[in-house]
Amino acid sequence: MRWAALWLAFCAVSRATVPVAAVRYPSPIELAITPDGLRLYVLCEGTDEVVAYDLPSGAVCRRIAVGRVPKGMMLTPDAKRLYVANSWSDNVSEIDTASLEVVRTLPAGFEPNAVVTDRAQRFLYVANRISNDVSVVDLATGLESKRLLAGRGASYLALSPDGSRVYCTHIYPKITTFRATPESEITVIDAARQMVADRYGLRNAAGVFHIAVSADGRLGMAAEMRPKNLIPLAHVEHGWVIGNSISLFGDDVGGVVQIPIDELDRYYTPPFDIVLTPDKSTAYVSTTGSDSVTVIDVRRLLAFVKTLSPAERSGVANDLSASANYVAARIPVGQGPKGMALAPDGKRLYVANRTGDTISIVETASRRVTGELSLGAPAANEQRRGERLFYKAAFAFHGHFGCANCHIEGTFDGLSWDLEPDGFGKDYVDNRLLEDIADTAPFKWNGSNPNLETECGPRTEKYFYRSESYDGWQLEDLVSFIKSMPLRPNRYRSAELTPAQERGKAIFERTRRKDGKPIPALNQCAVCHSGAHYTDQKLHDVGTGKPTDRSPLIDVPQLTNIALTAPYLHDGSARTLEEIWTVFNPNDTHGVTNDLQKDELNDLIEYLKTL
Amino acid sequence: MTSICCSLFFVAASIPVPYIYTETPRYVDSGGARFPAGASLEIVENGRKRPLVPDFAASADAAVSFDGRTVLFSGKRKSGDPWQIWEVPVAGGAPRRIISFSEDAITPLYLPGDRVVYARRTPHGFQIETATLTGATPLRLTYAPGDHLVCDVLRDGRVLFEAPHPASAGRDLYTVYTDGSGVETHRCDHGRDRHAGRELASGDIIFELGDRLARFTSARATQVELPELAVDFIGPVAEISPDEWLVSSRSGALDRWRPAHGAPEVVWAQKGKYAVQPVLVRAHEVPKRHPSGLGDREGANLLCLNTYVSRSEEIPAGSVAAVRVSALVDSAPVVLGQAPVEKDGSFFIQIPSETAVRFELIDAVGKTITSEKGWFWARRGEQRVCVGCHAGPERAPENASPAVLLRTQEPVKMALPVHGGKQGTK
Repeated sequence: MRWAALWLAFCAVSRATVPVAAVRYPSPIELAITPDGLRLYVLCEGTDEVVAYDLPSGAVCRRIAVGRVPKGMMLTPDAKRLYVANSWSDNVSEIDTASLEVVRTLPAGFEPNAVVTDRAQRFLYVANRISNDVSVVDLATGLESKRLLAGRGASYLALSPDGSRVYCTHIYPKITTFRATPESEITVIDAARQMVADRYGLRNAAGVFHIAVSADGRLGMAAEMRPKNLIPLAHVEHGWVIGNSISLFGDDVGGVVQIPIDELDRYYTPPFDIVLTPDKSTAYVSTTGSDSVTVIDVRRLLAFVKTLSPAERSGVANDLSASANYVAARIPVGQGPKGMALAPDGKRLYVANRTGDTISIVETASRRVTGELSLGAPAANEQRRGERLFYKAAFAFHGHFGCANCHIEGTFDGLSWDLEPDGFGKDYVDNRLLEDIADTAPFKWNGSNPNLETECGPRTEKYFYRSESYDGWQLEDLVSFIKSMPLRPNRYRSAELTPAQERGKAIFERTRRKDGKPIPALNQCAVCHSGAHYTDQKLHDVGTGKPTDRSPLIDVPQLTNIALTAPYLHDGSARTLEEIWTVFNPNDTHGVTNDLQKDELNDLIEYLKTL
Repeated sequence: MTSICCSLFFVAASIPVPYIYTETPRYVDSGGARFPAGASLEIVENGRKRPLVPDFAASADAAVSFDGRTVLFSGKRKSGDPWQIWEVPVAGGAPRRIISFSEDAITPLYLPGDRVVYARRTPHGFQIETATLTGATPLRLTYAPGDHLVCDVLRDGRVLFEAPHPASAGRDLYTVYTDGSGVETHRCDHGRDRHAGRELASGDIIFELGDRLARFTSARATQVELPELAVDFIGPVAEISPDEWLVSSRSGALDRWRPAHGAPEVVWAQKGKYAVQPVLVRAHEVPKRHPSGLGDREGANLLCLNTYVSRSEEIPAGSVAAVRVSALVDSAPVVLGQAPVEKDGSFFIQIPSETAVRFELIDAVGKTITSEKGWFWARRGEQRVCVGCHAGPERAPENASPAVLLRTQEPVKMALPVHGGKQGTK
């Protein structure tokens, strides 16, 4: 007993030796390699920098400070310029690769996530995740010349090899009618005219990441998830929760074909980056939660697709045995693999292990990791350990998914799910943003989970993962990470409220109707949506319950960064903030709003966006 | 039923890992009566063998604990005893009886959480149960007719077992969670008489198929047959290292086989004896614990997404009007009732739990379109979902709201007949 106590005490000390706060981890997320193969640029979102490696020596040449939380990077074909999308700074850093200095800062929309230039380097395209568009920046003037509407959560870009097209994907599905099939798109931009030329529909896709185009321009590949949110989440096996898939497009396949990369008893999730070899023989797909890279034999893949009938083409994404026809290997790499870069001679593949803070060097001939570049990260503290768990899929049955599959990069997936324990077709749940939730207990819309330990521990194990998951310490780490998730900047809030926001604030805080009659306290916005997070953390019946809900009582949701998180209401039935009042509040039970005009509701929305 | 006969040679060799096998004058490769002439467990270390439990009249079915220190086995202390489940230290010592039944209990394996799983003889064949290492809180996992024998505990936490299957010309391999829920055939290509399955370090499952071996891999929906050799194998395989196995041959010998290197090498053979059921004595990975999600509800709910999705037959679109449910009551099929099938092929029913049931799809005039050949079951509080009717484990669901759930969230209830009465849909 004494030894056990000493051991526990030792462990507790060991686990506490790394300070929790003020530790920054590089978190490499994207890579770029020079055409001569001598230099590797590593984009580190955790330390706001680009780390330039001299590959022959493996030494760091320079650490180049950029903006906050950089997410995307592009090296121009002449290797003279490096562009970095700074997601929290809402701008782009232009780096001169000769001096390794930032020489210019360019404008972007809300939360720029990826950058690409046209071939002539006249225009820079920036995918903006929050403003759901693509900025076109004139590189001669350094000014943004136009915005192109892209998919929701526009995040990744690719230029076709002939320079004629820019492709853009997005991580959140389009907002459609309640419980409709998720839809995403590849936005095709005509690079000559800087206009949207086409939108390729990706049916049942939600969470589309990197896109790659073959050197001959005939094959495009986009990494995506295909969620199963419309059926009850009653088990995990047989691809019941998420399909991990690649959307193929281009002349080689004709139209869009979604193909799976999973197997019957193992899952490779979520697919993030895709690298196609110049000869189009091989595609490498990083799968972040599975700590691996999937190798696809592209020739076999194309031959397989050619054998499919039209009906089979539309259904092959659900055939877990299909991947045996084209997956050549699975390569274990470091923790949380994200962006990749292939050496110009094709002999090495570099893989950024985001939560492992390393770069795996894969020898492509043997398909094995033969080396590693370290980014000199500090020892992992409990939050970092928790972050690794958050992204890891190994805890779910057959490694099917992890927290981050639905809470994409800590956010949400824009989907409404049918969870099992309450019965089938009941208590639909709108997925929520995880930032700033530490002090907002209870959890789940019916308040059934008193704390995050319950939510992430036994509930997740039993009803999501359906397999033995976190031990006590791991759960502690995971919860610590979730509680520590930084809150992204609010783009709508400035030092002073605008007049419209001021008017909206007055409506939010009003105690009387427009006709002067008092509004009961529990029907005033600011009473239930009160406190630091705009929630009183209590259950109320505000009349938004549905016949399929077991209880009309709703845990008051926090309103932090509410503008980002459509759809709304507990089940995701309101597509916009306005619909909360114009569709789902006919009797003024969810605040008094029926005496408001359209412009007054607009004012209220403008204010809510600042919270 | 297959049995093997004696050979007349004696060879001794060794492999680098201690192992245990069952030595028997006669091995019957079918169901529970496998050792009609007796059996004894032998442990081999450094090429020397010794009986594991010398005082026992019969012993078989060795299973090594996760830490490699103890062995579960089925045994008879005296020749007239039923087979029971025992545990003995590898290093020697008195065996400890874990299960005390008046019926036979065989094929034990360790489960995580200090539990064991085994097969117990019932009037309806061997059925699989779990219990604690002290024999407490037994829980039955299987409810269909015929012999259900434990093969392995998969690292994902499920129990792999063999049982009769009407489409398999004998047995097939099934999986079930350790709370008895989620039973299904491991693959739906249903080859001839699959049994004696074991999971390899790679996650593949290797099994006996007639007189040869085959394997299931994660990537494929159908079995992969191993190279055919002059040697016929029998019973489960023990994995020495990746692609190196200890196998029993029908000649009676124990062979070391590296499929990539051709013919097997005999490591043990003894005149007049057969060496079967090899297991290695070493620590191995603890399988994942299954967190039971069974709810506190009557019966079990079953949602089928689309009856038209089937790997075995084409069901004409729009032809299915209803699903008819039968249960096995006193060894006879009894129709419990029927429920409507929606246009999209979905239906939602509540079936009696811990009872063998099966389905028929019927058209608008009540004619059978197709019917399930075998039986399955669900546990109390289980919520079962399936893609279609015999869709196969390779078929992931289409993401579409089932029409039946848009119409109702309440299942059509199918109840067992009240004693002496007729039964229909509630």
